[in-house]
Amino acid sequence: MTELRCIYDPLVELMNYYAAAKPGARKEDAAELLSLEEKLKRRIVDGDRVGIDGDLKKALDKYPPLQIINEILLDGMRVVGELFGSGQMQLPFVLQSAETMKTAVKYLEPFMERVEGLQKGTIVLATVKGDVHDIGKNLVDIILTNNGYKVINLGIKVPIETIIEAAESNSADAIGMSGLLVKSTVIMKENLEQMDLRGLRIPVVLGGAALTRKYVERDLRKVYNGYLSYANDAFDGLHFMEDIKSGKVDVAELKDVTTASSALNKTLELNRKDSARAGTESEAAMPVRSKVSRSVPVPTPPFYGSTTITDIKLEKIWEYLNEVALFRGQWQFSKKGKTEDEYRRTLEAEVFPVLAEQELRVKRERLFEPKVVYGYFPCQSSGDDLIIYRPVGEEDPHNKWSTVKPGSLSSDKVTEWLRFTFPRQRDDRFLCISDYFRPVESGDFDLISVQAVTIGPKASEFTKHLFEAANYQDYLYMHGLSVESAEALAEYWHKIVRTELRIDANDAKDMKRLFSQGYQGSRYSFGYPACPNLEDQAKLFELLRPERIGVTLTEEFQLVPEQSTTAIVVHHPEAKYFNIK
Amino acid sequence: MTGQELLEILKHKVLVFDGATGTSLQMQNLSAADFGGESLAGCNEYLNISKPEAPEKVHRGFLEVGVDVIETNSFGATSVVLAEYGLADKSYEINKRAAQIARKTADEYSTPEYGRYVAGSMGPTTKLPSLGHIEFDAMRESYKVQVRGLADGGADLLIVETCQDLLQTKAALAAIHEYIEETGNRIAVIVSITIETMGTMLMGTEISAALTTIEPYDIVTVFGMNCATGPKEMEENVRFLCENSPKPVFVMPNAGLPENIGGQACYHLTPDELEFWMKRFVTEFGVSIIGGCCGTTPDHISRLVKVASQASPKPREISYAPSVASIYSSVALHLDPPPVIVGERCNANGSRKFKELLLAEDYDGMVQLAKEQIKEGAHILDLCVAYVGRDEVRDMREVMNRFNTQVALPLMIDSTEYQVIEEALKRCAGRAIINSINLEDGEERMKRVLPLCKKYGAAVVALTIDEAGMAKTRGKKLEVARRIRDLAVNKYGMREEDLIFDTLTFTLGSGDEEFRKAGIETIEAIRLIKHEFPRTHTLLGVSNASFGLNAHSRHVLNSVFLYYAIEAGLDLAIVNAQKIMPLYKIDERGREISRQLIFDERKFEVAAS
Repeated sequence: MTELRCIYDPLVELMNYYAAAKPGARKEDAAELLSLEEKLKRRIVDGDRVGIDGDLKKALDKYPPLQIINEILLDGMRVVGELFGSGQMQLPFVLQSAETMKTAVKYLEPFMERVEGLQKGTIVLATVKGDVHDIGKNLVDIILTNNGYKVINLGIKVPIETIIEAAESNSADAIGMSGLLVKSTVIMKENLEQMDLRGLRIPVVLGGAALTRKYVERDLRKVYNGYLSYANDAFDGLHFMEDIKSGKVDVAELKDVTTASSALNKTLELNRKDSARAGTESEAAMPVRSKVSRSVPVPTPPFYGSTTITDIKLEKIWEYLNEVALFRGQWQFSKKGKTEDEYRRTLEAEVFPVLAEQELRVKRERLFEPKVVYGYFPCQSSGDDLIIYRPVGEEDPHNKWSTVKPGSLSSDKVTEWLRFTFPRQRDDRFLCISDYFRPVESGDFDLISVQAVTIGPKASEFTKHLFEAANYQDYLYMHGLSVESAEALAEYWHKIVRTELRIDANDAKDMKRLFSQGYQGSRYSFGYPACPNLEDQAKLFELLRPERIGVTLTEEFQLVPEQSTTAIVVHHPEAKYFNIK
Repeated sequence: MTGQELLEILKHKVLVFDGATGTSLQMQNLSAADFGGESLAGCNEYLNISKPEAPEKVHRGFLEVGVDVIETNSFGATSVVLAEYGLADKSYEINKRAAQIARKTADEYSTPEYGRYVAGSMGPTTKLPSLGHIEFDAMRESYKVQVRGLADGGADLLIVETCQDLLQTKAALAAIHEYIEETGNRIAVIVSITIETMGTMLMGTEISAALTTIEPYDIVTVFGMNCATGPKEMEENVRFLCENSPKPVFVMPNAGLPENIGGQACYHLTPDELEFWMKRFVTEFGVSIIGGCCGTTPDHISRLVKVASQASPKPREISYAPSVASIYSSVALHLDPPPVIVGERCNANGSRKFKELLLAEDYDGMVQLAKEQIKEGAHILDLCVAYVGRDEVRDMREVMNRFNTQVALPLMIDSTEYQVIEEALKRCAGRAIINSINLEDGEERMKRVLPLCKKYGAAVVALTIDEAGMAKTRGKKLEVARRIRDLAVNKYGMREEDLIFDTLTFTLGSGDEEFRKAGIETIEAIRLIKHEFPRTHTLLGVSNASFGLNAHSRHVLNSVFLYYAIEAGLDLAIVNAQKIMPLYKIDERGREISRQLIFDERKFEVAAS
């Protein structure tokens, strides 16, 4: 048998296909073949800024700087946006591209006669009054700035007057408001009402963790007659600006938009009235207390009073790091368009190394200084109130108490210190946090643990510095890690408290389940659904004096530094999260 | 008592060890004369000679409250420690006496139904081999004298306890290994490590790394922890061991954290508290042996006897993933998603940079190169210092002395010389992989290398090569793997999970007719081996696949090749982690041509009939 002639050989094919790639060249060698324009665009997409100056210099021989930015570089950012939108590119890499964009623009600026022509539009951005969270707003800033928009970033806790003034004095095309807290969504509504009252019609975009598209499009659109849009992520902010500037949305004819949806609004109105009526009815029949058991055993604490802990290992804290919250929530490595397996590979290949690197940086530069103040206090419930007691003869109750110790507690030795009033569910199970504690009538004392934890002030300072230095990617990473580390510390300390109370026998073995309350009892933070009153922070501060670990409270009851959290810890086995509507 | 017999006992009951020996001796207010003179004051072990009533009294105190096992008064009776008192040459005698005293006292309390046992105590000495305080061999020799003394004096089992440095533990185990080989006395062994308040062993070893390192030793029957802290601080680690250790778990806490009061260490944990925690460890976690360390008195221990008589251990469900470890941390031999990446750059034959560093004896530079690979995503590092004309044993010694503590990843010791391999193993505190064995000269190489793997608890890479050379077809590769597996398991006592088969990668870049199918055969051999021996692991040196092609083609072809090998069940890949890219980053055409090349999808003209 004669050998048949080979008419297709993948080896020859492969050699020819990559023939132009020079041996020994680095991984970008394919880029060598690209045109200068393509190469620059590719640099933006790949976030590759090392040596970009050389390419830009060459490009300046062919094009004016503005054209390089608008036609080449911004085209790269457009691709980045598309990749992000389709789930093929994760946020941290988007930021890397933005950093590259910034580097390029900075290089080109001196060659431009006037910079203004650069801007495609202007927006005023602010985190609303009472809220200190600015990562989301800053991400919008980064994306917009590096897509050619001028951003007036007013910072945090900004009153509406300041926002309006800035918009007017800069002839802004739009306003963006942001906030993480549930309370901020209410402030946004008030702000919009204010703006509407003054007859403003400037387009507004809203974003933030507690905000939903439904709330913005159904509830808030009713109070504001200008164009109003919801931004789920930073690119939604970009699309919003593009829509406005391209004329896709007719800003002037906004009345029509609202009229168009007025039918829908009416229906909604009716629904709401119905449900409001239902609410009143149930209120009449509302019991004063839920069916929560009043006789569960009260654990014995190791001490009464409070104490500070400063010697905490970071490794220990990071064992309690909620990786889902960090990777998906903070760092926004989204799972969109990926199978479980592909997502795991992304984590393994891209995300875990980043985590290791950031953790190393934290350790090396001693960026985190974890501290805890926590305590155990005798308490009793009285209706919706929770009464906390202090010892009669103790000079300073901000310490481990010496006059009242576990085992020696009696009603003549303590006196009311302060009381929390917790809201009660108006339907469902009529729950109220106070119900988890023995009532005054029982004559028994119950026990509550209270904690405040912080990662320290350096983390905030360092992230701020990263943002200012346009290290966007590191900014996102470090901010996310610091916030989640504070959460992890709270989780870890909750674990210590359960161990000290010997109620940890039912703790979930799988760490991930701990994040969904896989344990006895519950940890509640003010501002969340079961205890929404941020003002209660002041009482918690009276109990613990977190100033001792460097944590202070602003007038709006926000914690400083941001990477801190406080909580009350309830031991009752039926205690879980619930919603007050 | 053999390990098997100890396991048998543990099936039926929780064993109770005694409490603190040192603290109990101190409470007897012994005079310098009791110790045999001023120069020996404080040398508790010499009391076995100078005042045997003292240790006997301690034993009696604990036997009275009903313990099952008493420990000999020999914690510091190695020559390494005794040398500080000028007693180095008395080690055998002191250990033997210690065992005899304990034996005699235990026998008094033993009945045919209720045996009392003697555990020969082997402390950590005062030196840390990982820090270069002492040579491994010197330490092993010192332990060997202690082992002989304790066994000859009548100890039922040995406890290598209060371990601070895994290399020290390994020296003790090497001594016991040799003792067993020489005498045939398969005495039961317990290893107990000490986790400091900072959460790791003194040398920074995480508990998972310690378990990974000690678990492969079949001479060790029970693994656990003692000293440094009270039970509360041990809780998480005890839980970890109970959930992960295939060996029964031993726990012997101090009576709380010591507080320094007027220069004296004071322990405050009450018997009540000890009972609470230890009961919990037994009934909720499944601990098999309990006892007390520093500060625990007969009052404490009587509560443990109560716990053991009333509570039965919780049956444990263990999830143990075969792993390797550095002195710091552990890496499983199968990761999800695969593969475990073995960094290839610390190889004097494969990396020019490493070779140059080696020739310049720039050890810091070599450590740096190792660390770079950690950043690049490697999980394990291959280490090869073989270079023509150089003393490979010496080079390995110098490099390992640094890599052991300065490189946080587990190592794959890559050498053809068994002397070099042993030199490396003696300096590796964690669990290493040996690269490699094969059947090129028949069983010769296995005969040399596998006993070292047993003695030091290492895993091993086996190449599918036999007397006829490198196996090229999937059938032949499987046949060689099967032969190696049978010999390793049946003759040399290795476990399947300790074996890592390398089905050999040949270049697809030469166009040589002989190797056109090499890619498919290698990949399919992985599938066959994983199917027949699912507990074994598989490995490939991926970069060979593209040898001879230009850089970019190599990059692409290696990545695609790795993808299909993983699909067939590959666990580990030796690669330059930076030169592998995920499939989606390769353009579609390049990916398809590579796939066609790997699966030899050439097209031929239709034969003219």
